[in-house]
Amino acid sequence: MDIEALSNKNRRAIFERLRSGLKRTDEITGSETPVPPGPPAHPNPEPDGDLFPYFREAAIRIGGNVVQLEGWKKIPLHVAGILREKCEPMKVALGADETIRSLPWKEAGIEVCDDLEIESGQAGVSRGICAVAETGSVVFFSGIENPTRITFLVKYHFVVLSPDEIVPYLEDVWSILRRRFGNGRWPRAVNFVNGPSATADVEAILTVGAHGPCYFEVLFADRAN
Amino acid sequence: MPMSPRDFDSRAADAMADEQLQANLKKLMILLKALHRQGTGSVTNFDELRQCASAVKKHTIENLDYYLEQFESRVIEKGGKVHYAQTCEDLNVIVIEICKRRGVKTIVKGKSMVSEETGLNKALEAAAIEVTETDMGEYIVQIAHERPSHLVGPAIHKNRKEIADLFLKHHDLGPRSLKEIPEIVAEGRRVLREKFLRADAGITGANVLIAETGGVVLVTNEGNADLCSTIPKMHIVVAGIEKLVPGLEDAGAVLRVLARSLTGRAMSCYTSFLTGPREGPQYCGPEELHVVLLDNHRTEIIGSEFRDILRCIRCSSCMNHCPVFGQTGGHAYGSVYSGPMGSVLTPIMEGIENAADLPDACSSDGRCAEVCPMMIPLPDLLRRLRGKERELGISKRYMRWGISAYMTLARFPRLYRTITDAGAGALSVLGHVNKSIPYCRGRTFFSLFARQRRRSKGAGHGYRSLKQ
Ligand code: SF4
Repeated sequence: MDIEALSNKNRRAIFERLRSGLKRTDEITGSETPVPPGPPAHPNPEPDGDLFPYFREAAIRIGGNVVQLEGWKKIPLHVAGILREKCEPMKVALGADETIRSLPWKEAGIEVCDDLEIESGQAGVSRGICAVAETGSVVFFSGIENPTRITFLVKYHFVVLSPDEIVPYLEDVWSILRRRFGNGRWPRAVNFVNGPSATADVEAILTVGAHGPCYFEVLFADRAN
Repeated sequence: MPMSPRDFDSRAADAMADEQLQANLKKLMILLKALHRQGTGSVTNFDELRQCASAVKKHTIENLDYYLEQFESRVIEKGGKVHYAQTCEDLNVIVIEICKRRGVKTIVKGKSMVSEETGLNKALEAAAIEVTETDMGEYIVQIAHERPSHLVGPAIHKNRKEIADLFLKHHDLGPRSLKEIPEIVAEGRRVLREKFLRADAGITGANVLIAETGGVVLVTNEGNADLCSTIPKMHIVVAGIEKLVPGLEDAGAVLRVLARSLTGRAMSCYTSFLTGPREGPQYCGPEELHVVLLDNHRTEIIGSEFRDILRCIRCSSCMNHCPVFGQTGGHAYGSVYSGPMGSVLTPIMEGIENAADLPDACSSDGRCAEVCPMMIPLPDLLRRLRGKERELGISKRYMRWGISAYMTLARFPRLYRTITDAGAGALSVLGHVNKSIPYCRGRTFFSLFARQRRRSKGAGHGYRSLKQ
């Protein structure tokens, strides 16, 4: 089956109908590039000053957990405490991100594995790019440092951020990514995560732990410590 | 059971007699309305947000040829492929051929209304490709061989016992308890996890397509669409051409009203922006990305008086607030799209003569337009469709007669009043005799208003005196 030919034929017909429906006389040329409406309005009330309480409130409202630790080195012990409390295996999946890999996992009694070895019921730790105060989201991008598999396959997901990595609005995330990747190749996936996965498909009752993590925790800690 | 939008009346009557459906539907509608109130009330300027979102979509639709071309070239630049389908059959043929070329035998699928529109699952199965729906609700209706009854609660017509029985029958997992909802959900998770890990390809819809980046935005609460687009070696996106927006900021404007209208939250659990297949040393993400764009009458709608409906983002708010849908549920509509937006889209997509009942299933209370985050004038569009039916002479005889009788009567106000007064009086008497008939005061609004006005003559404005 020559679907390329079929698609080309369809493309021509679709564009023809579009242009006649839109009453175009000519194709739009470069000089007539349409200008989208201005930047979208932000939801009110707008966050001002310290963004942490805004983010915390938004994240907790949607079933996430927000924890402040003194420094990154304390992260493994904290994760170990939670896994012990939940009676889960002392094992976490990590990406290639050196800042996370180099934390004292072994000392905390935690075994480290790759994202390709994730078993059901296991925990994972990733590094986020930022958190968004407006929505309570944590943002990740794909790559070997923080593979998307961890974000969706583990049962307990811990995210590490510095307190200065909270931005007020969605649009600020694009500014960060534009600064980082410019006009070059953007990461394949940019994921906004808001709390643990959930479904209301059985009798319209919200149940946590659909396909993604059942537990989601954002860890804010100072990198210097 | 083959469905057609033709027999709305009889299916609506069946739905209203189905006690379980009525109870579940009521529960879902209460929940979704509360979530809508919560989401839209959590910000003080929701109207401004809706205006922004709807301006973005309006602009995109007005320049869809431009943005479609831009989207296509960006997807290709990033290593993906774009295919065009004019009809439902085209889309199915293209998807099946893509799968065959790569020897795909098993597919995991995220929720996609476009694939419902084209009947993709059936076509795939006929081509000997196993396809598994992975949204919990969609999975339940798939193994029950039924159709989704609600845009966001596909299995809402079933209770936990029925779902547990279905799972016990379909999953060979030995004796186990499935009494509680978390047990049911955990089993769904376990069974579907295996499917994700083994599937050759993932198919999803798209909530938004971004022209600037060639990006696809997926929104879910379960995370299933993300697994479909991350784990298998191939990702196929099927979407309507109207899903485009110009840029990332514009996508944000749409997402701001989508989650707030539907889930009561500022954002759904997972919102993912995907561009192109995997590249370089990344070892997750698909090796191949295909985007199949569907027309299916959308280009005709653009040139018609129904263009506004193309702004629809399938948030389900209009149906959740529709008094007719609230009584009948989605199955009664006999079509993929139900509720007010379905009553507009179905007659256009399937032919007005095949769905003439649907635009009539409307009380014109206008609530749908009030809650629609895209500010689509749904009651106006429905009225236009009813006008078309009348022009074509395909509206129901009793509707035609009723409207003609009303038009005649309305020309003679005195006669109109006498008859409506007599009707109200008769209803009141009947209400006293038979308690199942709703209570009627026995007077029309018009006569009550006139009486108040007479009483307070000289005391001021009629309306004010009526309120006192
Ligand atoms: S018509 Fe409006 S309210 Fe209804 S589903 Fe579409 S966007 Fe939502």
